[in-house]
Amino acid sequence: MAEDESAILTRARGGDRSAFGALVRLYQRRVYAAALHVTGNHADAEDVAQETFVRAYRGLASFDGRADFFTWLYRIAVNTALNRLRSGRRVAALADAGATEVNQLGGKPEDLGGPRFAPDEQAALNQEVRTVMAAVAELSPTLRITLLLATVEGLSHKQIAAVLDVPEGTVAWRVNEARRLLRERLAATADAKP
Amino acid sequence: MSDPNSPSDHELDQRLRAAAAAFAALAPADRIDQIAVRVDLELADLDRPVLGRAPVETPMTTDPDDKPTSQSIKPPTLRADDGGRTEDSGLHDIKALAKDTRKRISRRITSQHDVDDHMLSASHSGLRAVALPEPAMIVAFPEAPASMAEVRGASPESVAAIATAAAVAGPAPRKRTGMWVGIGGALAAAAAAAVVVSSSGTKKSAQPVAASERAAGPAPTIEVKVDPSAMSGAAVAPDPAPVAAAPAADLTPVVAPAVDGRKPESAHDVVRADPPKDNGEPKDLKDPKDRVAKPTGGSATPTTGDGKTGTKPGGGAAAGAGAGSGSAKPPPGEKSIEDLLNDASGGGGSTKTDDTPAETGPVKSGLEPKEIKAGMSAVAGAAQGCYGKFNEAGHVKVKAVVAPSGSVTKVDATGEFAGTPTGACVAAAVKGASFPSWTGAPMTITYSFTLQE
Repeated sequence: MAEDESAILTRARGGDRSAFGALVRLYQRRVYAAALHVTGNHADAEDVAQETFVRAYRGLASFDGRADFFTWLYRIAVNTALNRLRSGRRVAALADAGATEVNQLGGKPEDLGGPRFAPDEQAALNQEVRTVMAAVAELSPTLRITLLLATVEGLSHKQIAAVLDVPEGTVAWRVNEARRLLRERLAATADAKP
Repeated sequence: MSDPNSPSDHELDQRLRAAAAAFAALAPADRIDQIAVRVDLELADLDRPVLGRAPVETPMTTDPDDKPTSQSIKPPTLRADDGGRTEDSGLHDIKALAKDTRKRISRRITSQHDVDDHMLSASHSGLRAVALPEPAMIVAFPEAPASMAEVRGASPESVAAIATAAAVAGPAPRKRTGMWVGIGGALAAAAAAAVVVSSSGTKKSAQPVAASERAAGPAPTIEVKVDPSAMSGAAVAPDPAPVAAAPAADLTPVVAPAVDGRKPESAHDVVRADPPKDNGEPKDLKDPKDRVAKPTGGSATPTTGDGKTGTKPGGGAAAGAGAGSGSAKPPPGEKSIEDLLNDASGGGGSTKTDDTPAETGPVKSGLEPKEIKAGMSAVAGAAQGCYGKFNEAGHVKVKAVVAPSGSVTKVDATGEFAGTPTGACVAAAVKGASFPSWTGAPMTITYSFTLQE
């Protein structure tokens, strides 16, 4: 698979747009997920994912191949998503982004790309997802993306350091700090429940 | 992990993974799959020789059919081997836009030269028509003086006014365009003269014919011939009867020196008792309506030096400038020179020069990007409202044809939203956009709106 990707990448760097399309299809879900982690909503995640690939296409010549293409792509995605957040357009919406998005969970099952659940399971899942994602949304973007890259995406600290262009020690600190804050908020939420 | 709370961290991570996975699963699968399609479309746009990126994408082709023309902005194709230099920099777009703008400006200047040459030629003709001491006119008035005594009782200022007004009428224009341009310039000069006179507080004047009187038509008229040799003490201008100004041969010396530099004669001293007359501005009172038929066969009755006039019912004279009904009143009751000028310039209440074909600054030959942005921003809210209607987010590209009047004449949604309700909704919103007007061909603008929740 790695060879395949390498061959596709070579063709894409040579200007083969269909080869680049294959790369897009290969990574679109992961890039979308990374964008979703930062932006907190699907609409922005779609836009960020699209912009990420366009930027990647434009910058393919600057990709020297020393890093993983996936890491390089992630870096573009995260920076694009962070820039989008910094633009201020989504800051206000981000606070309740998790709750807003989760409210759709089960509400429009025909739109869901994931598995279906029984109504009671769905309700429980909704509540859990709503709670957790709302707590995640309260984290700062850098802490949030660092934590999600580490836990959800399963990247190593080294890879995260490459993606975020920060030292590995910073990644470790961010992950721990994010966990601490998340734990506190989840605990507070649990305490608030009757 | 070095954290002593590892188990807790692990549990937290599991919980987080589960929630994140469920959250990510909210994304409609088909829409994620659409990312590849959207990217491919956008890359195809980038490869096209037009500006293709929102929100500044403005392939401003002047071809209404949106066919690529030499006037189209053609930024360099953005390819991967550009080394990323073109990424979002807009550098090439700006260069292309500047180049195109320069072209259009140069074309505009060239075309303006044509206009300017024409205008200069016409102006030259018009000015000559004003300045040259050619045979003057007969100024017609609708009514005859009540008596010769009234005519004799007119003040010297009235005589001057008559002379001035007569000179103003001047010869007929040689060219129609020259006449109008000359008139425009004359009105402007008249306005300036009025300002000067007004500021100096001069009140003495004579009153030329009022517009209403000039329009009175072929009523019995008195034609006044002003004799320069006797004007210093003459009192011509009956009150309230209208007076017709004199034949040109006798009249022109009164005014012409002010223009062509000849030494004033005694009559001019009278005429120039009012400061503005020194400048010859009264000639500028010419108005097309004031143009009168030249005397035919010397039909004008000579006026003697003491202001005698002769009457000529309807003879050869048409409307013109001259002393008005109040021109023979003593100075305190006379109209000011300002009023005189106003009357002579068409009876307007002010010395406006609106008739002049004034230049109003550089002519716009197209819309600037910021103007396009501003126009589109005005309808961005309405476009965003389409998300609320159809709950479809994404980049909606529209191609709008904007008329030089600034109104949108045609809009189509392009790209992935072409033919969709959302695309039609956004297109309808764009239809209501308005832009500054310009001179030239319609422009085709491609713009994209990002619809989001």
